Amino acid sequence: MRKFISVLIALILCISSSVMVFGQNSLDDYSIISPYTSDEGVAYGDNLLISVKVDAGTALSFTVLSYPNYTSADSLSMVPAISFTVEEPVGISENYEKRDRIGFYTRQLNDIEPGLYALRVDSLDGNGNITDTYSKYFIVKPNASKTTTTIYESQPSNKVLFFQSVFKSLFGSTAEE
Amino acid sequence: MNRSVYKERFKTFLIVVLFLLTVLLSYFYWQGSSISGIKESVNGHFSSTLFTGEDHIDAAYFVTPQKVDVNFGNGIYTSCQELAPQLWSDFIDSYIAFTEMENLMIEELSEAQWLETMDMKSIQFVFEYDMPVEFFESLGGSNFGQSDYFNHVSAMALSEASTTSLFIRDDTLGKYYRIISDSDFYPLEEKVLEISSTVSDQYYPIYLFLGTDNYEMAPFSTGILLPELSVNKLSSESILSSEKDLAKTFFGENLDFVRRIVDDSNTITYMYGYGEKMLTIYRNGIFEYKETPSSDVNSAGFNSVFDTAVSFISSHGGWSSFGTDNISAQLRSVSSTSVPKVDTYNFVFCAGSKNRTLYGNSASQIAIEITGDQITYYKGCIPAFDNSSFIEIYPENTSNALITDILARDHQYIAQTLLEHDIITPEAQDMDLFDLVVSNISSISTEYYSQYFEAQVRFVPAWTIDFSGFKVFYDLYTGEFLGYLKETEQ
Amino acid sequence: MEWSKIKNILIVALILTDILLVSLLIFSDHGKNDTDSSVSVEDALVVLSKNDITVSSKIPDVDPEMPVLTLTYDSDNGSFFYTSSEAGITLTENTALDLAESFISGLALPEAEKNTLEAVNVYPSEDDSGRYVVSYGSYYEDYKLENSYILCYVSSEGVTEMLKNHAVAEISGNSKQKIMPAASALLKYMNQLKSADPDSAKEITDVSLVYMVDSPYDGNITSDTAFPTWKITASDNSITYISAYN
Repeated sequence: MRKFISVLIALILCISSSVMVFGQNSLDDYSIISPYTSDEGVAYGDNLLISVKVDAGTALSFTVLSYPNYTSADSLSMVPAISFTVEEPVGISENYEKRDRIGFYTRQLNDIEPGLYALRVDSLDGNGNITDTYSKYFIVKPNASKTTTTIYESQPSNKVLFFQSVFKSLFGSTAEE
Repeated sequence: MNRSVYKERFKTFLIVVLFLLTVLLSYFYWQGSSISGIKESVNGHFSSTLFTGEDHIDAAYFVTPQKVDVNFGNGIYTSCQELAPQLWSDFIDSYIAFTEMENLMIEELSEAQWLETMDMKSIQFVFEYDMPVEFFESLGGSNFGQSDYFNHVSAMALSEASTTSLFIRDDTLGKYYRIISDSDFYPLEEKVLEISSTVSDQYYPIYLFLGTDNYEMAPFSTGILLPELSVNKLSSESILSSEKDLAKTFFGENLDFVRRIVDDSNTITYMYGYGEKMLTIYRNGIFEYKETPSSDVNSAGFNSVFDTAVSFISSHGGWSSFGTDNISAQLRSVSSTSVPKVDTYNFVFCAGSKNRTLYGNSASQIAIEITGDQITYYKGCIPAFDNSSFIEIYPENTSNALITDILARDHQYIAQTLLEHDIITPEAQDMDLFDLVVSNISSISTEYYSQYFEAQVRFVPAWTIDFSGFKVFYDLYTGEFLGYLKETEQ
Repeated sequence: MEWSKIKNILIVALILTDILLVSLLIFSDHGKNDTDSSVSVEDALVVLSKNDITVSSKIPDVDPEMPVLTLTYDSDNGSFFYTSSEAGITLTENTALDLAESFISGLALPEAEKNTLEAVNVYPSEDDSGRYVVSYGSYYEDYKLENSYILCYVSSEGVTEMLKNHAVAEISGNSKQKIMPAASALLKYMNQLKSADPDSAKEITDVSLVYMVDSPYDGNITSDTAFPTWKITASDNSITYISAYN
């Protein structure tokens, strides 16, 4: 029986933590719009935009955390789901006080090094106690430089000449304005 | 013997002078003039600097992009408003050099190609109007020639995707083009670096910070400090003291034989003939001039029409109606209608500061309609402000209101307003109101909104949320609702 | 060949030429001021009579140049109705006129130099009220201001109704412009008449120069500009106005 219960608990923990890692939204009281991540949980760029749409009557606290041990992670699936040993806050935690209408929590973080991060959202009750918490994990990677792909060949295969050029080549003189 | 040399030289000089005088007098005589006629033509060009104002202003001076969209190439975007005129004038030399190159080719692009091109390091000059291509042809060097591909330029861009190409977007056709040359012609890297070192706001696609499906690029916050502008109004008496000077620019130095009517609201009307030419001056200084279209008007190309319009404004009260060095005129709309035989063009100029438009201020809007070489309608304003009272007021608290907060707070009111003005249809109401409003945003920028008081006008820096021409204004710093304007009212 | 002598001759020749040109220009300036005497009144009358138009009135002599006038309308123009306590006066043209005159002098209308107000006509009212209408015209010097008038409706109790559209005139500006002489105006009248109806015949009973504004304007006018105009009245009571400025 005990064994069964501990396996059950472990299973539940696994499932809920994977939900924590892979879920886009958690609770109904707010939705995280940014950081906007790809399917592998990657956000590109060195400026990070955080934008969370919050329902009426909801009080929250936001903390951004970085995980220095995982600077070379390529996608979230490569990161073990549980027990991060070192986590450091990026900046301070900010509170969002409840309002009688919807609102936004927006924050821009500049000069973010590539690596593993999390946005931790704590739901608060009337006295400021944490009633629930959710962490969205994401990996920051620098923007892929696009210079390697060339959209245009140096000489287009279908040349379409300006009328003026044709005119010029026919008559060898500058066209009238 | 020096004296006789001087004497001979003097005689030669005298002969030349007398000869020229003879030529001049013969010219007048053959012209059928008289002494009084000569006097009239010398004095006839009215000399008041208030209304004939400045030396000839090149029409091209008013054509500047409304904004310059910049992609820094690493996923960071911005849009420059204040810098736009400067960036454009810096670009013109490169543009001229480009158009003078040999072997220019043109290639039509797909929308996907255009978007990919702008997704790389790029600078895009975006105009508020679709400027006919003839304008750009005359701006450029002589080799540019006639283009049969696009007839308007809505935006012109440079991109890392091809540094030997000039990219062009024509919104009237919904098409994209690039003109390709043999060599680089614009210091793109350098310019982008320069721009990145100035204060500018990061722009994001709207879905990234508001969560609604809308791919327009917009800022949600601004680091740019815009001052409030304040200027004192002149009294009606003061404004109207120069009404005769204005009338003279239209009807000639002698107003004695022009019919002048004053009505009970103190509106003054000058009428020539049976209304072939009519000038109406209202007591707030706004005036309207109308001419009955003549049947034998000469057709003219766009550039000639544009020049004629600008010259006409310059010599008939024009640019001085904006009243101060800190407020300048911007071309805000260009439209044309094809009437049989000759095209009619409409130009609207608005007052602006730091390349932001002063909205809600009809006294600072100049509208002109021209058919061929004849001006048929012209609306302007006698200077209504006291220049010397102009001040800029910077806010004490420099933190600005966030777009996210404004929309969260006001989206229901905005939705209601958009419904009332038929910007959105009632069926659309089934959508979540917030998403409904945000999905209809066509752009967000910072502009000025006019507020009138007893003795002064204030131009308040404002977040301007544009819904395809219907603009809603919020105080940039307090987030307070300021007002809204339909497209036709601006 | 003496250059010096040649130069002297050239200088003298050029000076003479310039003097000639200047005097020619001055002469043509005077020329512009002469009255256009191309058609005399007698000739015009002959042409008119050949076209079934007779003139039984005097043709006035007028100044060759005339100014425009600025009209300033009273601020209280409009229609007015009165009840009067005057009881039962026998109503005749003369008594109606007397009543109107005393009424008008009681109005204290704005006065201006060279402006006069005169009773022009007294006639029975067209409605069946049995009233008389006394119509007043305004004059600047000897010229009638066609747009300024007052109509008084007089019943046996006195003035019961007044329609006032009164203005005073003054010369605006300093300039005068040449006007078309009477003869030319008559010929123009004839042309207008004949092009509308080639068979018409008229007897002109009055030719006079007045001041008027004839093109319409929407709005309540407080000030306007009146131009010299020829007023030609015929025996059938038709009135034709012809602008006197060319």
